[in-house]
Amino acid sequence: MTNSIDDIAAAPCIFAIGCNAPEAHPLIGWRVRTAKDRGAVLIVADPRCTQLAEWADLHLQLYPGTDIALLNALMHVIISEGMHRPDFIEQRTEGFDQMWQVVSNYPPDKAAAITGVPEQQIIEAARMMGRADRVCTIYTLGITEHTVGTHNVMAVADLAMTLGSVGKPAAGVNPLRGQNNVQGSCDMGALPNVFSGYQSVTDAAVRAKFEKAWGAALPGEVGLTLPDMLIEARQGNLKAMYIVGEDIMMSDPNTKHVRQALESLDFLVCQEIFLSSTCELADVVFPAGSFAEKDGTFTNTERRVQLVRRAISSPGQARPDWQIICALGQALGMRMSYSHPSEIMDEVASLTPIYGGIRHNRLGTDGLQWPCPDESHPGTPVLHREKFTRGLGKFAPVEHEPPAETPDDEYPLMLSTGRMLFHYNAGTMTRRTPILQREFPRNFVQINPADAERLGVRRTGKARVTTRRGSLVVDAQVTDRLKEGVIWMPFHFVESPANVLTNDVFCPIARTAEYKVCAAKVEPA
Amino acid sequence: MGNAKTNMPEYFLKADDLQALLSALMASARVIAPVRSDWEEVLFEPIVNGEQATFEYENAVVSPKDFLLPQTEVLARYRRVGKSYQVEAPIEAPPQVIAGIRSCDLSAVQIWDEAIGSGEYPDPYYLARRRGTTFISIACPTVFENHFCAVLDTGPTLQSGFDLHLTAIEGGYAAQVGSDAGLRLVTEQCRFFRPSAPSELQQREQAARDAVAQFAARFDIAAVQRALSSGADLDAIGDAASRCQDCGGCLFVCPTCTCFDVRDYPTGENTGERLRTWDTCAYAGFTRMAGGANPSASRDVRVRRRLMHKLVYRLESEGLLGCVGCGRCIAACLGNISLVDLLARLGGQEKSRVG
Amino acid sequence: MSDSSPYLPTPAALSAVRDETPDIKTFRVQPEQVFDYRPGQFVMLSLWGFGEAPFSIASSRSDGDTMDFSIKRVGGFTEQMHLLQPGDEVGVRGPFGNGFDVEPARGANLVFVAGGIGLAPLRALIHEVLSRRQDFGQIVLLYGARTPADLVYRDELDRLRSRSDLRVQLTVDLGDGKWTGHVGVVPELIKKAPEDFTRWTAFVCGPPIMIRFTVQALLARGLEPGRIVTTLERQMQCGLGKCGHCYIGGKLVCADGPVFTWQQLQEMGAEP
Repeated sequence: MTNSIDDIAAAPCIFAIGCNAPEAHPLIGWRVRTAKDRGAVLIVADPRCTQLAEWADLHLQLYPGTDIALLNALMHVIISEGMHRPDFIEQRTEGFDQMWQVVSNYPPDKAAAITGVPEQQIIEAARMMGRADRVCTIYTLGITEHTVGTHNVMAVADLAMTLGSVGKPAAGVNPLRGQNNVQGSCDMGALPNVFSGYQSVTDAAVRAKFEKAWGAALPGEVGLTLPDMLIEARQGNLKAMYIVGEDIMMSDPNTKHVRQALESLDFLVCQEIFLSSTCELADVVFPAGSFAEKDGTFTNTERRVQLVRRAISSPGQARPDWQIICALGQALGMRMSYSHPSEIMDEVASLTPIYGGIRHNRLGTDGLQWPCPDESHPGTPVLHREKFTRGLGKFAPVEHEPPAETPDDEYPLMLSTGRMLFHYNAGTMTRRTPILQREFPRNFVQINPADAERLGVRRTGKARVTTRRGSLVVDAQVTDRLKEGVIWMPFHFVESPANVLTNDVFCPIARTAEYKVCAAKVEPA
Repeated sequence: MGNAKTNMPEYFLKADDLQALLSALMASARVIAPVRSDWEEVLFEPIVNGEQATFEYENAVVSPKDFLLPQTEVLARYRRVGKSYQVEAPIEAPPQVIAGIRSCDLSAVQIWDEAIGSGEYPDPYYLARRRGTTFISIACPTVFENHFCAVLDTGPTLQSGFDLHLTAIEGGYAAQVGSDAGLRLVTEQCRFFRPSAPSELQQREQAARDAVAQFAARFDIAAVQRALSSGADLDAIGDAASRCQDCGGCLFVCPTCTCFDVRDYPTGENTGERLRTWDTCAYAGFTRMAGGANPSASRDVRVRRRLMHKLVYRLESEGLLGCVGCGRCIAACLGNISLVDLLARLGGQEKSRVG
Repeated sequence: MSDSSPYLPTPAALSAVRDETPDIKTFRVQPEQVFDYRPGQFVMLSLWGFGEAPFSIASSRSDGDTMDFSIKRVGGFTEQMHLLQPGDEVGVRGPFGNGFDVEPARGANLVFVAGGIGLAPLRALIHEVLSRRQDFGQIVLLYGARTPADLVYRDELDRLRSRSDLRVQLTVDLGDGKWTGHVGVVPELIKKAPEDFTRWTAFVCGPPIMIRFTVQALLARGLEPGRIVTTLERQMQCGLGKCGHCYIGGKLVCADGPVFTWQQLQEMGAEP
C-alpha cells in the first residue's frame, strides 16, 4: 500500500476494485464501513454483488477480466470532463499525453460493451471520483490474478495519478495483501529477482554486499518463479524443492499439473504445521511451529513491521521455522548461529535500506512502517509524498486484452474463484476448527438463477463443474449475486479443490496465475 | 450471593492495601484480577502477586466468564474397552477469587446462575466453580461512553447481588459485604478492614450519585421491548443486518451469552473427550440441521433473534434482562453497529441510523 | 443419565437393526437402566468419538423395555449409526421434551398425518393409543413418502390396515410399477378424506414443508389450530435446555417442545 490502513477510514471517496474486504480483510472492511458512515462515497467494481457491493453507492458489476477497459473508460470520462488534476499531473508525473492517446480509445460505450457495465454507470462512477477531493483505491486479487495482472495494476495506478490521489493521506494505491506476512516475505527477498528490500540480484554492487555479509558466492541471474519451477520440474530440469508453509497442491492452478511436477522431482522437502496435501508427496517433512509458537515479526499490507511473540510451546518435535532453516544451513556448512530472531532482524537492517532502522526493541506495540532507514526514523505512513521512487510517476498506458480462456460453445460460462470469510486459503487451519468448518463444511458453486434453470440445476442440488483441466461435483448455490454467464467457487476445500479447474496461465511479468477467470460448463449432478 | 437489604456491616479498605489483600488471598485461593498487558489491554488473568493487578481501567476487554464457563471444557473423558466404554466426568472446583469485576459483569453472573445453574438440569460443572468463587466487585466512578448500565440497573454500582463490593472514596474503598462469602473473606482478612465511619458511608452514597449525574438515557427499555415484540423494527433490523458480517464478535465479548457447542475429540485410538466450547447464534451453522434445513438461514432473522433474546426472551425465561449495558458489543463490531444507537432508534425518539 | 453429570449417557446395547428403506434403519436398544417416557419425547443418542444427536423414541413404553429409533442417514453422526451391528453399544440420555399429551383427546377422534421418517415419533403415540383403543373415538392414519421404497414400517402398516378399528391410507409422490395405492402428496389425502374433521385432533409430523401444507389442508377441513399437534426437529447439542441451538421464538424445542400445537407456533411467530 502506498498509504496506511487508517487512511481508508478517512477517505472521502473509496474505489474498491477486485476487492471483497469484509470477507477477505475484515479489519480493512471495517475501515471502509467507517468511511462510509462518515459520509464517504464508495464505488465497488466486482463481478459479484458482495456485501461490500451492497454498501456501495455504485456497484460496477463487470465481467471477470475486463478491468482495463473499465479503468481506461473511467479515465476517459474523467479527463474528457476536465476532472483530472492538472497540477499533480504536471508536477509529479510524465507520459500523460501518451496515456491519453490510448485512453481516448475507451469511450464509456465501448467499455460498456466489453465489461457489461452500463455506460451511464461508468460515467456516474467517473463523476463521483472526479468530484471527490481525492480517491483512495483499494484492490486485491481480482486485479492481480489475471494474465494481464501487472497491466491491471498499472491501469489502477494510472487512474490514481490522473486523480492526483497518490502521495497524500486518505488516498493512494492500496493493494491488500492476501496473507498476514506476504508483504514481509517479499520484503525479505523470497522472490527470484531480488534480495531483501527489492535490491536486484543482477546488480553487481548489491550482490557483492550480500556475498560479503554471508560469506558465499551468490548467483547473479534471476531465478525461477513458482509457476516456472513447476514447468521446469515437469521437464526434468528442476530436481528438488524445499517448500515452506505453502500448500501448492491446494493453492496453485491446475492441480493435475502441480502433482505431475512434484512427482517428477527427485527430492521434495516440506516444512509445515499440518500434514497438508503437498506434504503427502514429500520425502521429508519438517514439523514447523505455528504463528503462536515463535518470536519474530510480521510485515502487513501497510508495510508495518510488527512484533509477534511466542505464546505457547511447539508440540512434539515442531520448531519455529527460523530454527529449522538455521539447522539446515549449518548442516550445509553455513555460519548461521543466532540466539534470537532479533539478531536476524539486526542483520536484515544492516543489509536492507528500507528496514535500516527496524529493531525488535523499537517495535513496541505499534511496530514501524518502512521505509525506515535509520534508528531515529519514525517510519513512513504515506509513500511518495514528495516524489516517487523513480522521481516522476510514469503513466503506463495499457490496452484491454481478453483473458487467456474465454467462453465458447463447449465451455460457455466464466468461472471465477475466491475467498470466503469463514475459511482461510487452503483451509489448513480453518477446516480443522470445528465451528468454522461447520459454517461451510463443503465446496459449492454459485450460479445465477437463470443459468441454473436453463441447465436444470436445482436449488438444493449438486452441480458438476468442468473445465479443460478437470471436473468437480459440488453443492449448487443458486444466487442472483452473479450475472448470467458467470459462476464462482471458493478454493478452500482440499477434498474438492477449485484449482483442479483453474487455468495454469500466468501474467508474463508477475507470473501470477489467472485464477479469476477461465471457461467452464455446468451440468446437474 | 447476597440478598437485597441485608444489614451487613460496611468496612473501609485503604487504597494501598488492595493489592496486598489480593496477595494475602492467594494463600487459599486462585486470585483472578485485571492485568494490563504490554498492548495496553486489560484482561482478567490469574495473578501470582497482588501488584500485577490494575484498578485503573474502564473495564476488561472481556468479562471473567472464562473462569466460570470456560471457553473450552471437558464434559467427559471416555475410553473404549471391548464394545463398552469407561467414562468419567471431571468436575473441578478450585477455590477462586475474582477481583476487580464491574457491576455489569457481576450482573451477568446472575444470568449464568439462572440460565446454566438452575432449571431442570442445573449444570454441575458450572455450579462447582460457582460455589468456589468469591467476587470482589468495584463500582464504576461514572457511566463510560457507550455503556448504559444505568438504564438497566446493572451499574455503575449495585445495591445487592455482590459478595464484597468496593466503591472508591477518599484514601481507599468503601467495602460493602453482601453475602456470607463476602463476610467470610472480610473476617479471614480482617487485618485489611476496619468498620466504616459514618462520613465514609456518606462518601460512598455520594460517589454512587456522582456516577450517574452526567448520564442521560437515550432509550426507554420498555419502549424498546414493545417495538421489538410488535415487529415494528424492520428498518432498524435491516440496517443492522446489512452491516453485520456474521463475525460473532459481539457475542464473543458479551458477558450474558451462555450458548455452547458439544463435540467429541479423539485423543487416541480408543480414548477421547467430549468438549463443550462457546458458540454463538450469530453463525448460520448454529441452527443448521444435518439434512441442511436451517430456520435461521437469513441474517435478518439472526440479528433480530439476538436482540429479542437479550431484550425480551431472557426476561421471559430467566426473569432477567439479557443485556447488562457493558458496551463491549459496540466496540467489537466491524460493521459499526452500535447497540445504543439501535435501541435509541427502537425505543427512544431518535431517528438515528444504527451505526 | 448419571447423577454426577446430566451429560453422561446411560449405556444401551443394540439388540436389533432393521432396514426400513435404502437410507432409513430402525435400531432397537436395551438400556442398562430402563426409564419411563411418554410418546413424543426424545433422547440424545451418543456415540463416543462422534458426538450426540436427538432422536424421537419411535416405540411406546407399553411395548416393553427396549426403545426403537428410526434413523435416516443424512450426515456424519447418522452415517456412523448406520455402520452399527447388533451387540454394539450406544449411549442414551433422556427422556427429554414435553411429549404428546393425549389426555385432552380422550374420547375424541384422532387423525395421524405423517410424511417420510416423520412417522417415527407418531409411531410411539399410535402404539400408546392402540394399547388402550377403547379410550378414543375414530382413528385415521394418513401416511406418505416419495416412493414406495421410502415408506417405513411396511409390515406394521399392513397389519394396521387389516384392523377394522382404524382407517389407514398410504400415498406416494411417485409410484413404481407395482404400486396400486394412491399417488400424490399427503395433503391430498386430507382433502379427499370422507370424515368430517371438525373437533378432531390431528397429529402431524414430517419435513417442514410437508407440515406446512398438511396443516393448511387440515385447517381447510375445519380442524382448529389448537387441536393440530406437531413435533419439530431442531439442531440440538445438550437436550437440557442449556446450549441454545434449538431455539424457536423465545422457547427451546428440547424443553418447551418438541411437541407444539399449531396455535402455539402461531403465537410464538414460529414455523416448523
